[in-house]
Amino acid sequence: MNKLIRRVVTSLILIFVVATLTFFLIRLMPGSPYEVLYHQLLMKGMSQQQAADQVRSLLNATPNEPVILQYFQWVVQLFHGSLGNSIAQTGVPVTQLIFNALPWTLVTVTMGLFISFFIGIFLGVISASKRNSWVSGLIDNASSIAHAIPAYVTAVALLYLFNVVWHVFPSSGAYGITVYPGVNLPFILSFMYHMVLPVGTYVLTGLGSWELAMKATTITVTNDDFMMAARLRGLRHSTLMSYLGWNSILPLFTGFMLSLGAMFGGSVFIESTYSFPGIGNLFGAAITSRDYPVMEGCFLLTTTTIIVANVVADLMYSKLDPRIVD
Amino acid sequence: MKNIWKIFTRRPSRMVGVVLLLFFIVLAIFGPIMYPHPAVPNPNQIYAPPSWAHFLGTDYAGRDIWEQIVQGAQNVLYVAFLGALFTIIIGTVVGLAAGYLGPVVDNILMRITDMFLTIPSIALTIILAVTIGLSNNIVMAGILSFASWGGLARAIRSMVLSIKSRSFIEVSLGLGIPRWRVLFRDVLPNLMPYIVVHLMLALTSTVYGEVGLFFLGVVPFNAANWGVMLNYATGGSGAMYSTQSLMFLISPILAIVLLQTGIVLTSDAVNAIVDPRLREAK
Repeated sequence: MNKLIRRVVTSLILIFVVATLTFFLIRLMPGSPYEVLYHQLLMKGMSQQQAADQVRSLLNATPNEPVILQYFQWVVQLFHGSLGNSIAQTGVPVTQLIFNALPWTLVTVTMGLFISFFIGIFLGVISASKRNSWVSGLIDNASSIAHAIPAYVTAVALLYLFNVVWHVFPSSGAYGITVYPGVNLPFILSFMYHMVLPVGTYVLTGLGSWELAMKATTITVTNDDFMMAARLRGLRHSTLMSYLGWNSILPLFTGFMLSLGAMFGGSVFIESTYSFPGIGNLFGAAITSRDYPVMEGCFLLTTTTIIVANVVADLMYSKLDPRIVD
Repeated sequence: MKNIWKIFTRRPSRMVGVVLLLFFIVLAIFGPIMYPHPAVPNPNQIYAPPSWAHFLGTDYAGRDIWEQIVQGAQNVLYVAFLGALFTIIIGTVVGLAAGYLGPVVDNILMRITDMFLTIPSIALTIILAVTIGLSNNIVMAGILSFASWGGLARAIRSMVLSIKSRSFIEVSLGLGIPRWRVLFRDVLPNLMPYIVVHLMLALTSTVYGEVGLFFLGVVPFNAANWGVMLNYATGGSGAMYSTQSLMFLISPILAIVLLQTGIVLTSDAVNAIVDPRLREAK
């Protein structure tokens, strides 16, 4: 319990540090959007006070105050759960944009993660069991190449093949125009249909690392003493395989939660290519329009997700693996 | 030498990898000599099919695609190598310092490393690229490496800790050999195989990041780069939705895929060469 509290507190501090660093990174750079707007308004003939008020009401920032004061205001805002307003979509709170986008990404990333995990594990076990044949080499090389090919390349290739050459899957959006979002069958079917290509991209780019990790742990576990003992006791093959399976998958579990964060990062490329209305697309759009508050918000959200996932992974791992004593 | 040849013949894919990587390196070195000027637009030959004059056909403005691929190779490989090198240097220095300089330094450096490991590297790279602005290739390589040295630092640290407890290091220190000398003569050489293999892995991720930044359009489009080509092919030029312009879409894709394949397969070969334990096994 003590450990839990310590983990949560250090994670909160880490989140706060990351948020602070992004704040200063964005504010201290020359030509921040606040200053740009402020000077534009000054050039239009407004008085300094007027321009500052305008910027304050539009963007929720005060450009002519010292950065440290701005920082304190920002911290107070943050603790009230506000991330400021978007610049590109003037006046819309960043939190609202993020919460509109988050569910789409969450569902696709989770689906992609699970499918790539299971396929990767399956391939890893095959590769480990055929260690001395060409099959293993083929699987290993294919997985590492699939892992090394950038997600945007895979996404563009899949989009071209399955949308332009064969008109099988839709090219953009998360659901068709004829359905109404909610808990109803047509919407869910339409959503799943639109999800195929993004999830397929996550799977193709993600399974390589699982395959390699699973192969490594399977080989290590096969040579473990307890496996030898189990074999000598003459246990059934299925029992042996279940011992082997569980003990090889366990070490991958921490990576499982960690890769959730990496996939959130990769969603920038994938969702931009498929025009999928998730966090990645929001982040991508914020980058092209230099919408700093949205960028800050997406970045903070992604980092927080990873840190939380880390804590959950750690806690669950010590429950799953009794050898780890806390 | 004979051993190295055996490593290649045992898995022909390794040879393929080295050939691919060498091909792109040759393109990067001799490309600027072959084509010193940017490709010339030719409005009479928009989306021309492959021919003797245009090896891979032409793009939406009638420019030769092969010429652009060759000119892009230099930029991609230069930044990727530089970024991978920076990553290796930062990771190795931090890892060595954390593992070798005692618990206080270790604690501080590992907290920082943990922070970099938890921050999503792609998002951080993009944010840095947007706020700092990429004025030249060295800045770009620096940004690409800034977010990605954490894993290496961690691995190097744990290896230094395990090597430090081995008897030959204790003997060296006990004989009164200076600590720095032991670090560079005994500890670092033992880590070299791992660092060399990691250099190849870092290369794939810097290619990923660099071309990705150009593809997203974060970077000002002043350089010839495969990411820029892919961006135009999928976006503005509409090449994506016409079967006529297949070559313009497929050329940058193939270039990236082949380069990454080359790096991955070469890293397999390098791994087999530098790790003596793998030499016996397949």
